Amino acid sequence: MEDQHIVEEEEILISTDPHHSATSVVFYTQKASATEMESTLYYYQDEKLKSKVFKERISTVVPLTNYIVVNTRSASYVIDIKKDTVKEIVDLNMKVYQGVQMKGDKFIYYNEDGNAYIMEIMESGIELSKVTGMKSGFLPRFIVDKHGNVIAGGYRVNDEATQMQTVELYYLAND
Amino acid sequence: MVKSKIALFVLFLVMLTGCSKAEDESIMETDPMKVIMTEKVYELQELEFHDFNQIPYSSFIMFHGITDNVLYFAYGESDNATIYSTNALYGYDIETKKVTMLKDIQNKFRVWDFVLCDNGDMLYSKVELGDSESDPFHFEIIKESNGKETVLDEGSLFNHLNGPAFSRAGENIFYLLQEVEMDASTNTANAQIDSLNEITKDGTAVSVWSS
Repeated sequence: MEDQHIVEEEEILISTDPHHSATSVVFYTQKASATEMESTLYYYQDEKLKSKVFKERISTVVPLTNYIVVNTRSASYVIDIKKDTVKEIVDLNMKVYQGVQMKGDKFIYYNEDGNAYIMEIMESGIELSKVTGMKSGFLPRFIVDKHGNVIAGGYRVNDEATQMQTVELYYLAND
Repeated sequence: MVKSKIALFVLFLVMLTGCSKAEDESIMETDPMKVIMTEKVYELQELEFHDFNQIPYSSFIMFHGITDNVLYFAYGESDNATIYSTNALYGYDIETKKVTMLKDIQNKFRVWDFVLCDNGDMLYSKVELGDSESDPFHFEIIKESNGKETVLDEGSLFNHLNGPAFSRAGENIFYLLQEVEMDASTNTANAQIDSLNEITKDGTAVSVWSS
């Protein structure tokens, strides 16, 4: 496969993972050269495509109703879609994996500390709450229905002796 | 008359200035957003999933979406070291805990993603290995309606882990692609095309953005 790759000075990557809120689709492209990295975040809403440029590698994005949370390698940001502003999030040691909108500007995510959290973005600041109930070692994929109820599905235990893996499902009703 | 022409010209300049504002122009606020840890704790409840609770190492389950208390997932097995093939697509009713098979897949291909439309149609992205290991992966976007399949889009991918995945925004369904344009005579790639595509209500795929 490798010899057929298009070789360019710049490598352009696109995120093909689905990132979407109830109202918009968000994706990003990354252009890497030997000296520079440039990521362009696009959001498509009401048949309009807007973009933001970051001089870093984007690791995850979480589209919400009024905001988009963007995590780069070194920082986390909140884009206010209506005001067209970008603010850095401070006081947060966060690595967002599987960030999925629940309702409005509230989302659930899995952190590298092995816990899940629910974050809500508000004009006045950010509220963070802990999620409990997952067994140790469980790696979830969050699926959310249109009411904001969450299913966490994933693998937990690998048993070398039986060559079997355990699949678990969890449910959280949106209040 | 002259005054009105000048006024129109000034208005035109103002409009032009407004229109030329870059779409990606954003203001980096100096005040950062602060995080407050609340005392509220959300507790997940474990669900029974007996039929698929234990699966072999060589198998996989992928969860794809939930509608009206039915969780959609795919079950498959490893063909070789690089690609898994999907055996079947299922729906799991989280109220009754009953699993229903939605599609049995006999041929060896991977369903990278699938989504159920509001009218009951199924959209899925299919990824297949070529004849040799050095061939790119072939993908298709397929609509299945009342058992009849229609290919809405197809092309080539270099990385089967970048298969087309669906996103929903309101009633609209989108998918992202990073496909390669092949030179048929040499069977080599001559371009890479990134695109965001929308499945329209009449069931066709249209590009809304491409690189």
